Amino acid sequence: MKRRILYLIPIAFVLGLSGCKKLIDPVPEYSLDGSRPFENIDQAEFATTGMYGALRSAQLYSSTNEALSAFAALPDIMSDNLVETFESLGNQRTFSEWTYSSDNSSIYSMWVASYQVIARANILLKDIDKFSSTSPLAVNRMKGQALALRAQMHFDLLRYFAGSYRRNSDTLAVPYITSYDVKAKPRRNSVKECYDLILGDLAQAKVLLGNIDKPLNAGASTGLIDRNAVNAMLARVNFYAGQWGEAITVANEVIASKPLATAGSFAGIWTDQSTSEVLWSVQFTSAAEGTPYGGVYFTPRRTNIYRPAPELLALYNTTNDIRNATYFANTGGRVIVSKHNGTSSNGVVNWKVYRTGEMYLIRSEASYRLGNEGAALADLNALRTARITGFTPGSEAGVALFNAIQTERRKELAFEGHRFFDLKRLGRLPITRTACGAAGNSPSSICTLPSNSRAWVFPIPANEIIINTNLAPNPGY
Amino acid sequence: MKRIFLLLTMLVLHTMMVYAQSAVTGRVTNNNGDPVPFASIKVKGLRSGVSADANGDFRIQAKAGDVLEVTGVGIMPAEITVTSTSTPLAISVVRNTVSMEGVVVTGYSSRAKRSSASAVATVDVADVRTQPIASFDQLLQGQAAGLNVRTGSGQPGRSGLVQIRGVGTLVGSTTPLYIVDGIEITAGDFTTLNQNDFESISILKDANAASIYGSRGANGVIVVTTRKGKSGALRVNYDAQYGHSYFPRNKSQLMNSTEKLDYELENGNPNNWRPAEVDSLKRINTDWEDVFFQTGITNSQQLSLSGGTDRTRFFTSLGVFDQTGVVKTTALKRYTGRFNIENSTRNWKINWNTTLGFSKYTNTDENDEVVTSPLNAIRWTLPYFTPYNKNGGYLQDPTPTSQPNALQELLENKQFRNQIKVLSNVSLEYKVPFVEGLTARTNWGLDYMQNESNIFLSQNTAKGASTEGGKGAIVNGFGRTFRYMGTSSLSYKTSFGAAKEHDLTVSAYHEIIQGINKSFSYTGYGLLLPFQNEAAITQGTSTNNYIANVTGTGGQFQGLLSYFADVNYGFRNRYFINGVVRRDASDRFGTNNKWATFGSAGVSWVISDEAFMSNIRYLNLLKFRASYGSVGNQLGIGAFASLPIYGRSSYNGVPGLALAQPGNPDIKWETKTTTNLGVDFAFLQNRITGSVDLFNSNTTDLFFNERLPGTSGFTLVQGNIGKLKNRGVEVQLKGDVVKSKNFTWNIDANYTYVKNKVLALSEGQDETLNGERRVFKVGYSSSTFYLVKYAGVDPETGDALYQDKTGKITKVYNPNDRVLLGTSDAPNYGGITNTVNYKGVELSVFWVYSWGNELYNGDRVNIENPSYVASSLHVNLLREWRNPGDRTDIPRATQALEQNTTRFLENGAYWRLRNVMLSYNLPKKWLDRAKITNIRLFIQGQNLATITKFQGYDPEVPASSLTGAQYPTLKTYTIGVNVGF
Repeated sequence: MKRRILYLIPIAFVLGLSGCKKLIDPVPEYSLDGSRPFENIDQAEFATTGMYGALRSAQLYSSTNEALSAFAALPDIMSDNLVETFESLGNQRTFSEWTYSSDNSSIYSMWVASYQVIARANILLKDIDKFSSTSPLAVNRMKGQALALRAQMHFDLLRYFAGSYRRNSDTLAVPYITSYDVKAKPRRNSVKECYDLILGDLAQAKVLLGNIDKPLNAGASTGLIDRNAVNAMLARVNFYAGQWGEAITVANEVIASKPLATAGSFAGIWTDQSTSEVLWSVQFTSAAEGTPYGGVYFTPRRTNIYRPAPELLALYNTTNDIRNATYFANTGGRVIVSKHNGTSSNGVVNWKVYRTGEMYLIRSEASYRLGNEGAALADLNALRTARITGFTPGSEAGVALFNAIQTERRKELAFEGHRFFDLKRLGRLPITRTACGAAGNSPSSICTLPSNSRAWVFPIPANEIIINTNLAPNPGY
Repeated sequence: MKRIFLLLTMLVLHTMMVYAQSAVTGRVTNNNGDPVPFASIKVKGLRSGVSADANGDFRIQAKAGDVLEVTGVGIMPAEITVTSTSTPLAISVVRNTVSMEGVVVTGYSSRAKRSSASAVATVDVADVRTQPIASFDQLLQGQAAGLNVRTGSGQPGRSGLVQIRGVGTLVGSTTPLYIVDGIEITAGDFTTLNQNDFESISILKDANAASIYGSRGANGVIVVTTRKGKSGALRVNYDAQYGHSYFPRNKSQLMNSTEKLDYELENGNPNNWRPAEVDSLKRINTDWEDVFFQTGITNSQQLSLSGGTDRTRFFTSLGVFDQTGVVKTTALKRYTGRFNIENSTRNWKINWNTTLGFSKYTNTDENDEVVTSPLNAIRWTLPYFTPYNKNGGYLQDPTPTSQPNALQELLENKQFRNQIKVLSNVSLEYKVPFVEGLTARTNWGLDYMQNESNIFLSQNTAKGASTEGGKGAIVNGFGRTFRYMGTSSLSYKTSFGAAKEHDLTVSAYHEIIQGINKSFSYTGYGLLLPFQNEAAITQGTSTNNYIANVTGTGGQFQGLLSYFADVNYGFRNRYFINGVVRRDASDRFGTNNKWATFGSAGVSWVISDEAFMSNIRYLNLLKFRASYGSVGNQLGIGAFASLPIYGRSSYNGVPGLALAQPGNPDIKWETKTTTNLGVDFAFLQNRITGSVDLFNSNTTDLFFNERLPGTSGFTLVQGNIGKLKNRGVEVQLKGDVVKSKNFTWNIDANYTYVKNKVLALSEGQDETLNGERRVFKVGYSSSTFYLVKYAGVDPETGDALYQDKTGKITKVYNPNDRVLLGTSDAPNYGGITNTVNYKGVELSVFWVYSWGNELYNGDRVNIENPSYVASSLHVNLLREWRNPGDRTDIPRATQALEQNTTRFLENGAYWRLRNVMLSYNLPKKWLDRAKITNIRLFIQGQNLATITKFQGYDPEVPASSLTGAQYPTLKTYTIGVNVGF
């Protein structure tokens, strides 16, 4: 009897030794080992989807209490389109009062979140070519989207961090990253270099997405970047760069393939009932994925954090302009931005990044800049006719025409992430909010941004400069 | 095998049988003739023995000529030869206050404290277990030098922050390893363990003691042994305790209604109050603490039984611990059961321990800045509001910011957690009969924990309205954690030499540990039906937004394979040398660094036993210890940290994969190398005893989330960098100030000084931020605050002033002007207990103290921020700058508050009256008639007083900053009784 028990001890040793490999080198069960390249094209497809997933980061197109929503709400919060209310807890005041400094953690998060999308694109681009012999058209489809998204994110960063938008400016913009390398310490590319690379990526994407295995967006969906969306990106980038001719050419292509929404379907765009004239929108399908405009009007609790500025409201014809009822609502005795409240009024709504209305405005201003006032007026009138019931075509000319284009741009694209960049693009036009301080029913007391302020350009995050000494800080920070 | 089984099952029968035999009887007494209870008595040369009862009486089978060995807690070992089996033996023993004759328990083995070169502290559980706290780690506060326990929270069942000998890591865990009966248990979750089942707690502090735990030992080891049965008649003990708990006062005072409304009117009347409203609101002054708080009630009861024969002993207990928190709805209910049985024969020893526990835990959110947390609501809700409106419904905030009604959130939403915990181990020991001194041992055990959490969010509340679909949610989570481990060893012990003056023990071990967890949760939405459970969930469709969400995770969280050995050698029981070596392979380590080796060596010398010392009469003991060795830390590496990992993602209803971490194949353990010098002493007939230790530890290959350029798409990768030093002194002193027949007074005190210093970071790196407000800087402590100096207010403009790098006063806040300040970890801490006993009435007064640190008060940031005018504000703002010429320290309200300045940095030192206990043992002569062994009555107060400058509820915050929603340690008064039969 006793001997038999004695055997248990060596048995225990042996049991302990077997299965050791699994014990100390386990295989992940709930995630995928990324140390090897994609094993099959399905994994590449998943990685393509994963790339888009990062766009819903609260720093980019989504919003939570403290986060920035840099490419959705922030450009209007930082402009004269919105005024902070007493319902605000002041979480975004640093931005609406332009008091950020280089240690601002939101700017750092937004910088990293943008490069995260770029990294996911670059990881896909690194391995995707191994499938080009077996599935060339599928590779075109994925590669085209990755290149377009990479260009888009760099351009959005450029809009915040570059001191100039001129095509051939030597001013420093942001590092343009084309390969995934966690240790790389890149320098800042100049605005010119960035434009070269952005336009290069977009041109390549346009070619690739012209020859793909299956349509990118089934039905009316606009969630993925297709050739049309790439054209819209090209139009915007060329427009900022002042390459007016190129902007007109691509805007023509977009407008031809996707006309302006009818008056009847315009309202439906904002509740996602209709996708007419939407060229690309970042998809939000549930509250868990975030809400793009919660930082301005937080629907679940009906908190009006930023209200539309009185000067902006005054621009709309309250009875005839279909945008007035679509963009604003009067609820609880105050005017709110209702544009992005979504179908169920829970703030879950797709974020429209590009739509045809902007293309008209790009083409109109570009024509004007090229001296073709006739074409400029025609586009402006076409847009106004579509948005204003019974509109009598205007006949502005010269500076009046230019001003009319800018006014319409402000009205049409209000709360779509343009206003601050437009003011910056037009020569850092000073910002003034008339509703200011307690007298203006606002907790905010800093209501002007002069042309010479450093705040027109975001600081390169201090955290980033400490690690990567190749990065030069922006002037004034 | 069969016979052992029989023994296990027929325990009681055996007990009776043994007692039927004739035996030698006797009584153990001290030099005063008073009985010494529960001493162990065994026949020399035999393995098992018996235990004396509470009266010191024992009965053992022996024949004339046998030598009986008597040992026990607090007495010097004695031997007596049986001369006759018919006359009762009277054994007189000497009281021993020098713990030098005790044992050092390492979890793998125990050795005589005399021969140990290690720094090990022992906490007598009997001294602390009556404190009305549900998490046993909090009981250790102030009990041993080198052990720093911050209670962190007074919430029932919450664990504290335990650090042994300072912080030896930058971002890794500082949590010690917890071992119960040789089995590793989950640290930081002791809600479902009953401290009344513990017998001793040993704290392994230096490398020599902890290196036998290899890559897990760097933060020290807390080794718990549980209560075992003693042979003798069945012993029954009943303990009960009842008491009340209260919230302490906050030093930061809030404005009352009149002050607050006047303040608002001065600052633009943001809430648009009309004069008539102001007048009526001024008449309301709600004390929100009254609204949210109740008196906490503690009710604890335990019944234990133990007994056995000289071969088989058992201990079993049942306990109930029921504590309601001070915040309404919060409570902990715990039921525990324990069973232990031991059987020994000539060559075999088998031991089985099982603990079962169930707890239901309803807690409240703490340490957050969420407006609906009740502990924030008591600070932030406006004093001129009431919880209910005139119609009896919840008052909804009418001001523009419209904060949710926190009382409604608390009462209408529900959350609780049920936990089941099982600890069990079986050990088997075999003395190999044909090799004298050779023992084989194997110990296998498991730690199982199962959590079921349930959150119900009503559609009427703000939390419920912000869920998917906006109509409430139920979150139901289930998780289980299972760890097993097995240790097998061979040990050889021998004595040799002419007079057997050489003692040698050599052991070799093999160990395997695996931990696996699994958890999932689902969230159901649309709680429209009138139920508070799953029945209320609405089936989700693509249009109603009620689609339920299901997630889960799991896998192996711990995998360790180890081989280790230790050697102990003693010469003349005076000179000792020992050594340990351990090799660990862990699933945490990177593919390029799979195996780690640790080891230590120590020497000690009992100099007071040398002949040349024998004429120093006041000296009873003097022993020197020295050791050097290495231990590792692997808590800080995540699962699969060495791999780049694709995680789950989705977009537009399509699944995707996205790289979630860059991975580092070189990731490895931290190595902590410690030199320890110690001296143990006893003077004046052992009236003064104590020890002093000096230590110096260097941690290399520190875990560090190395910052990556953000342009990579990642901010951090886990890696190993740099070097950190910890230096300290520990003093433990005990003294009998008065020692007479009826009156004794003794003092037990300990003091620790420990401070760390960063010696190196990444190559070429001199400093890097540690969170938002602290910095890791070479040459400074790792917890150094790094803030801009606040310099008051400009009397002309009311602007806040700061000091720039050059010392100049400036109006511009610039993060580049941050300066190095004090540390958040207190370098000095300890505890003092005074115990006075007069004729069985004992008063014990226990203080803990800590000084030398600073704390950032985030509560003040929120209530001194004028832009939060929609919630309650600090009275300090009443003296804010209003007009040119005002001299004050509070800037004008219209300026945005800069938080990261010294304005909110405060002194974190405190003295706390942790426990006062008055107890009385009923005289024996009263009890004997009732056949009761002992009755002890006590009344105690916990946290009765705290002396501190910190402007908050409690300076013991669970981090370097007080965030908000603080749950301080409570003032608790209890009365209790212990009865033994």
